[in-house]
Amino acid sequence: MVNAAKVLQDLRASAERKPDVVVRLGKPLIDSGAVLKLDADAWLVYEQVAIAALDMGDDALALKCIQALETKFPGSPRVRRLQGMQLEASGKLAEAGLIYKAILEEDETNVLASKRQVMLLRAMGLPSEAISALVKYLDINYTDFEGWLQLADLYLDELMYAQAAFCMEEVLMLQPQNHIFHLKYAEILYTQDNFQLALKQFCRVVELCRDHVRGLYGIKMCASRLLKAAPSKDAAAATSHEDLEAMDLLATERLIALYGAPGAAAESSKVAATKWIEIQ
Amino acid sequence: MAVQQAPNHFGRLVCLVAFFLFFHSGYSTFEHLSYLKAVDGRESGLPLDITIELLASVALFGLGIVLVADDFKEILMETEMAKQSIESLDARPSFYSFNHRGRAVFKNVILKDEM
Amino acid sequence: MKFSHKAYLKPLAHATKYPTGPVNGVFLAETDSTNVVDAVPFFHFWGTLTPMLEVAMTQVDLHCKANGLRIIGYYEANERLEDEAFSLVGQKIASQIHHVNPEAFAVVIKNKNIISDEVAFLPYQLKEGQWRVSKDAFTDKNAGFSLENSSSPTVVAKALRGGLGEKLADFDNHLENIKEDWLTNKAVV
Repeated sequence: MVNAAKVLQDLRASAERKPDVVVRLGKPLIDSGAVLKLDADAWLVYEQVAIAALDMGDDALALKCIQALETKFPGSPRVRRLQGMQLEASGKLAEAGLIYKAILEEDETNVLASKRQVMLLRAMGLPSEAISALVKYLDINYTDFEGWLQLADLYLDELMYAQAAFCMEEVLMLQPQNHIFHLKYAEILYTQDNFQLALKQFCRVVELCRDHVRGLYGIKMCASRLLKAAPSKDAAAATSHEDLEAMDLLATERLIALYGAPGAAAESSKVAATKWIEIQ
Repeated sequence: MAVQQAPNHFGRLVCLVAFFLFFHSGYSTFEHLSYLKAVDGRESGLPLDITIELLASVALFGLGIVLVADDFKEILMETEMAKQSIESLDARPSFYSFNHRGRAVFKNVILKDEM
Repeated sequence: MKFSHKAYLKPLAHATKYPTGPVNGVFLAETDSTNVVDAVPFFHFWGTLTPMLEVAMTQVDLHCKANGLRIIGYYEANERLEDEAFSLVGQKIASQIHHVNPEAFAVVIKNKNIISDEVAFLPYQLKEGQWRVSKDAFTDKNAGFSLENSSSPTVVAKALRGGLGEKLADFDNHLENIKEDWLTNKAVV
C-alpha cells in the first residue's frame, strides 16, 4: 500500500505515461478506500487514476474518481476539465468543447482548458486549427515550454520541419540544460538536411550526457554526410575537414567501446552495429 | 526515481548505543550535581568519566548517522537528467489525447483480468 | 506473402507496448522466397525524423545480409484508434524499400483488431505509383496475403493479454539502452 503510493508519486513526478501501471496500482487503493489515508495526496491520486483509466478505456473507474473529486471540490475548473476529458475519451467531442468553453468564459487565463481545446481540435481531425489555437495560446504564455514542445510535434505531424525547428529553438531557450531537447532539435535539423548545425547539436547532446548512444550515432551520420559532400561555399562557418574526421573518430571510438563491453549488447545487434561503424 | 537502499542495521545499532551513552551521561551529570548539593561541596566542573562518555556518544552518533544515511545524489543536474528516459523528458501531460488505440487494446485486457 | 507467427506477433506486440502513439518497423523475408519470416520494430516516437531511421535501415540491412534475409515490407500503426490510412512518411519509407525490392508491400495495423481473433493487418501494395489497399487480404479470395498459421491471431491476442508486449524492444529502446535486443527480440518469441 505504501509502496503503491510511492510508485504512483514517482510516476506523477516523471510524467511518464504508463496507464496500465497506474490503474493496476491505483484501482485497489481507490476501491478499498485506502487512498484517503494519503491525506492531501489522495486527490492527486484520484486525478492520476482518472486520467489513466480514460487511457485504458476503464470508464467506470474514471467516473468513480471524477465523482469523488467533484464531491470534494464542487465546481472546480480542474475537475470540470477531467469531466471534459472523459467526454473526449468517449468520443463526445462537441460536449467536451462546451465544458472547456464554459471554463474559459469564467476565467480566460485557465491554462489547462486552453490546452485541452488544442487537443480537442486535433482529435476532431483539424490539425491546422489546432496549430493556430496553440500559437494563440503561446502568444500569451510564451514561457510555457510544454506548449512549444507540443507545437513542434503538431508541426512535425504536418511535416513542417522549419516551423518545428523554430519551436524547438524556443524550447531550448527555456530549457537549455535538457539534452533530450537538443537531441530532438538536432534530429529535426538533420531531417531538413542542415547537417552543419545538426552536428553541433548532436555534439551538445553528448556534452550534456556522456556516451549518449543516440547522440554518438547522430555525430557519425552528420560527419559522414559532411565528409562526403563537396566543401561548403560558406567555408568560414563550416567545420574543417580535419575536425570532422576527428569528431567522427571520437564517436566511433566511443561506440566501439560501448558495444564492445562484455555483455553490453545482444550478439545480433552488436554484429550489425560493428559492421555499420565499419562501412560508415 | 531514488533507489531505496536496504536499511543499515549496524548503523542503527550504533546510533542507539550512542543515544544511551548520551542519555546516561546527562543522567550522570544530574546525579553528580545533586551529590555535590547533598555534600555541599563547591562546584568544580564535571568529572572526567562523564566528559569522556559524552564525547564518545557524539563520536558514535557521527559514525552511526554516516552509516544510516542514503547514498548521495549527484549534485550536477546533467547526471540526474541522464538517468531519465526520452519518454519522460519529452512528455506533455496536459496535452494527452484519448482517441488512441490504448482504449481498444486495454479494454480487452481488463475484461480478461476480471473474468 | 505468407506471414510466419513471429512476423505477425512482433508488430502487434509493438503496437500494444506503446498504445498511445504511432509505431513502425519492417518485415524480413528469406532472400529467395516471399515468405515473411520476421519483423523488426523501429520507433515509437519522433517517427517523422530521419537520422535514426537511416541508421536503423542500414543496420537491419546488414543484419539481413549476415543471415540470408532481405527487407520485404514496412509496417506502421496509427495513433488514432480508427485510423487505417497509410501515412505520408510511411509511404516514402515503403517506396524506398520498393525501389530496392519490387515485391515490397506495406501493412497498416488495424488497431481495433489487435487483441481479437481477426487478422489485424491491412496490407497496401504499390500500383501505378500509388499505395493502395490490397482487398480481401487474408481470405480465400486473395492469395497474395495469408498467414502461415491460421491460429496466429488467437494465440497472439492471448499472449498480448498476458503482457507479452512489455518484453518487446524497438530501436528507440536500443538507443537508450544498447542491451535491448531489437533485431531478433528473443525474449518475445
